[in-house]
Amino acid sequence: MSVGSLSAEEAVEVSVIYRDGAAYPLLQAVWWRGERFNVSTIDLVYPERDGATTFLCYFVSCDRTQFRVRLNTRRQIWLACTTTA
Amino acid sequence: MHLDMDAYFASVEQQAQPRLRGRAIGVTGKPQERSIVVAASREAKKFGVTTGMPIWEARQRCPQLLLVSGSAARYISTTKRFLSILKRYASMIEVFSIDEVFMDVTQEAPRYGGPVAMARAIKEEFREQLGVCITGTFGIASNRTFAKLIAKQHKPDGIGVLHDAHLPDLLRATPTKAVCGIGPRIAKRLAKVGIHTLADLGAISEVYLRREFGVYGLFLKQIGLGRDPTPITPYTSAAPVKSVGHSKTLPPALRTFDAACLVLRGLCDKVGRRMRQLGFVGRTVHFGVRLGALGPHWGKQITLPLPTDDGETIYRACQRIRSKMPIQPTTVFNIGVSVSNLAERSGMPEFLLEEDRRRNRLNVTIDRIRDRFGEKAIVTGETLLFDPIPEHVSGFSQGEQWDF
Repeated sequence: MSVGSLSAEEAVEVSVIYRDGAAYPLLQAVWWRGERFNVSTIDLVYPERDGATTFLCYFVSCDRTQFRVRLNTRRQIWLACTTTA
Repeated sequence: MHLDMDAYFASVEQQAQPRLRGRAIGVTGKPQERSIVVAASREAKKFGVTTGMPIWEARQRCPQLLLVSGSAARYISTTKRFLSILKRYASMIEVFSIDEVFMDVTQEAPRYGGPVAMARAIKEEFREQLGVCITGTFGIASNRTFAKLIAKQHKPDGIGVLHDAHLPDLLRATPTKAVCGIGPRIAKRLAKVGIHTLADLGAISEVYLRREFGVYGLFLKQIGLGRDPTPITPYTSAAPVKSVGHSKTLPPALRTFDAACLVLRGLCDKVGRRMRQLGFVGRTVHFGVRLGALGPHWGKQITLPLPTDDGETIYRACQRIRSKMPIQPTTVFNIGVSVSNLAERSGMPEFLLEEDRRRNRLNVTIDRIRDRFGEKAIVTGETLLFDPIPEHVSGFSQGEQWDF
């Protein structure tokens, strides 16, 4: 049995705060499939490289739903997928 | 002071995905393949699941084991984050591995009220900055070997301190193979002459150890007395590169010798690319195979007339070595290549032959394509014969750079 598998990635809109001193932009909310999900916890943030493109990856918890949200820093596009149990 | 992160890869995955917390998980490469457990969570370890265990055996011991695909980017990033925290506490830091660090805190510890208070402060900062799931165990002693030993005894999420008064008891109770630096073969050789514990090692004469093990015998004697004079090597002074190599343990579909040599072609490309990135050329090519999981290893090397950083040249050298094998095996479990006898590329004269200049231009172009579009953007034709090959030669690290 495997878990932590991800749904297909989709382009999303997000709300972020750039806080003075914070290492990364702080995700506040994700709009996914027309619904707003408020981020209750940012579980993990890390950069990931694919060729010349760096993605900033977030694992966030929005109450009962968990997302992996990635920022394509080259194209400035946010992508999200849900993690499933 | 020694820091050993607890069930590191698994704890990073549990931190990333709260659904995994409190559950027995095993981090692996590709869960659908016959592979091994790279890291087990604390919950899985209670069932006897250990690093390096085949998945089928891990599932037998722990039927509820959940498999999670590993991500090198997550672990490397988290390591960089905890190292940046440690740099605020100590200046002498040696990065021993992705999840282990040695620190000389002789100067800094008094500022925090002692090494134990310092360790507690670091733990608190880990909890705040990294998350509740990512924890580490500290070992505190007067030298690195025993700091590591005492940390192991206080896992997980502990702080172990070795006072001088307790050293004799520890030496009597610790088997030789428990020490980092004494492998199973050495431990077996020592056991044959009645040396089973560190106290036994300390009691034996230095002359005997030196005669049997050479300079290494001096290290053994010191360990037997509870000492280790090896200094902390700060991460800022990197050891010189002596060789560049890659090896791969093969999935069942690629364990025929011919298929293994297709994987070898990709490995030679990787070695060449890394050498060009590091600015080295090399003359001695070593090619080796392992014929079973615990099977014999066969390896030979040749020295080329001219230094190279070209994957094709390295591959042809491996083929020449292969042709000299006394028996061509039918099954290969692991295949590897490395290049040593290195020199700096910048000190080399320009290529004389047009063929070599053309080859060099091709390598530069391929490197630029991979820099921009990823390692798998362009590969040699042979590696496309089997679908899994590009995945298997691309490796776990995916070209991550270790810069702090």
